[in-house]
Amino acid sequence: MMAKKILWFVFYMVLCVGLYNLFDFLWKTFITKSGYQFIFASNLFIPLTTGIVVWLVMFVFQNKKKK
Amino acid sequence: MSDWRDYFNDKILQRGHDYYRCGNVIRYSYKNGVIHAVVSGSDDYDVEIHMYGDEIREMDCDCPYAYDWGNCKHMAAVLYEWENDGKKETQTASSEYNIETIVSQADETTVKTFLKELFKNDYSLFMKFVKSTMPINKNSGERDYRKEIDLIVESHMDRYGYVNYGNMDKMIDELIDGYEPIIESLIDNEKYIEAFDLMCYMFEKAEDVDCDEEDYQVDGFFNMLQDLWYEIPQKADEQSKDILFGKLKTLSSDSRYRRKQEYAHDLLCYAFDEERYFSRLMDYFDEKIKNANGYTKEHLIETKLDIMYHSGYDFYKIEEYCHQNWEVKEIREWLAKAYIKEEEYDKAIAVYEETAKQRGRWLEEKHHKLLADLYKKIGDDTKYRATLRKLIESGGYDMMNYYRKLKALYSIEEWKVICTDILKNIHSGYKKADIYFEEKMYDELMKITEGNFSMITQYEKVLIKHYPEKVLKAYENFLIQQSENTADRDTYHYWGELLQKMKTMENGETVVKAILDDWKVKYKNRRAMMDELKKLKLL
Repeated sequence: MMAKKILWFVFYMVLCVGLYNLFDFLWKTFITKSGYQFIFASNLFIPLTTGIVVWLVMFVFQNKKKK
Repeated sequence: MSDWRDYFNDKILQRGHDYYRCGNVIRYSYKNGVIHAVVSGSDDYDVEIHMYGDEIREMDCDCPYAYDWGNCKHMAAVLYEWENDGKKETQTASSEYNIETIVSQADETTVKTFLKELFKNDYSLFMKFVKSTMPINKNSGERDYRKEIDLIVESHMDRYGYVNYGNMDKMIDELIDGYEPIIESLIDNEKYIEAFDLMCYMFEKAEDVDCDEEDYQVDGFFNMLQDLWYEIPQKADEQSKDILFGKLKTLSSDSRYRRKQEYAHDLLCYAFDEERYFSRLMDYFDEKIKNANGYTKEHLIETKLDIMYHSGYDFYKIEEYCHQNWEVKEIREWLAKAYIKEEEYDKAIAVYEETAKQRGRWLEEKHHKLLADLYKKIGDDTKYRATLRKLIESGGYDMMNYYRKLKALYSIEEWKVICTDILKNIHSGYKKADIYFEEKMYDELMKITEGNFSMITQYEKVLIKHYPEKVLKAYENFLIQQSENTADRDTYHYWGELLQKMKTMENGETVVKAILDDWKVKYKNRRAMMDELKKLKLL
């Protein structure tokens, strides 16, 4: 059960980072045309932090619902 | 007719229709293509719609929504009224009915009953009625004016005593238009006390009003009457002025009306400069100072000192008074300035130096400047030079001005030593660079600016003559470093401009070519960057 949860969390994080970078790529390539570039500080940490915050909010929300 | 509904969104239309259905459109009238109506909601709002035939030309409502967003539900409600009932009314009003005929034909009892019903629901209309039925006698006493003022104020209030922004403006206009000429005529007829009391009453009323933008609008009202306020004591005879003095003293301690209190205090300070008021003014200030603290106290002491000084009071006693309040820095500054006016520079210097000791090395630049000027005036060359050095070493805004002044006092040989010494005591690279530039010490200037691109561009004109390679290298390093990260189109354009500038430098062409070749491969996916470089004909 725990392993399944961890797996879901990892999948969710990968999805966050992947989607963020996909949109960043589309935005910078076709809209601003400034060119996509993977910058460690922003392209990894922003989606990771956002993902964790959303995950925590959902976790608290679901626990409250169960009560 | 294009449908008037097109001017509103569905939600506003729906709410407007609700208002119309519930009979919220009151006092509807249509005359000469203009619809006037009052729509009651959270408040009563005036709506005005200009028509040309069946076309809407202009719509206006004094509700906050219309002010911010345009067409509101009140306008929609009025247009529903116009569409369903108003058109008929217009057609009939012009032919069969006529206000004058109807009103003159109505019997007294019907009119009275009708008015009673109407006034029950509309207090402001009632106040307007009271005002219009009151006999206004321009030569009547102050008491009548007070009643009239009350009525004007009340006629702009809603049933809760609140005056909205638009009504407040109207109220202020009515008060100014109606009573400014009356006050002027009272002053002309030498009825100074009546004029003064009337103004006080208006001020009180304006301050009492509960409205939105109270500070802004009431301040505006006070300012509009400011000239008249100052005119009264200036024109008043001795006896009236004595009475005014007493009244102002009482008003300036009446903290219920803050603005009136300030105005009374200002008038006391600046309009009673005759000798006979001096001791009474001093007593007034002493009492105020005793009860004040902080900034208010300091300000009161300063004003008292100004009055003492300008009335020709014994300067020795003024000095004594200042020493009694010596802990207040503003008082010390005041005395120093007074010494300067009296051309007692030594004493002024003593005051500033004492202040300087108390504040230690953090003495403000302002004091240094004043001290420098004073030392120059009394011819104390050593202290003048030392103060200039302090001003330079503190690196203030006007540093180079003082630097040049100090430099002018030394021979070339002497200055070399002094300059080295000053540079040792300056820690800011930017300030040092200013001095190196002034002294044409370009080696040092190049060294200090290396690695700082903004400084290099600041001194580029001289540096490029002496160190073209180093400047070119600085440009190259800057561009390579900056281009590592993506940027926006404007930045890419700026980089292009820098490349163009580099091209004009010695060996610039080769360096630029190398950079561009590298970029073409490395950043080919930055289409905006390539576009900008192409626009500048670099690619």
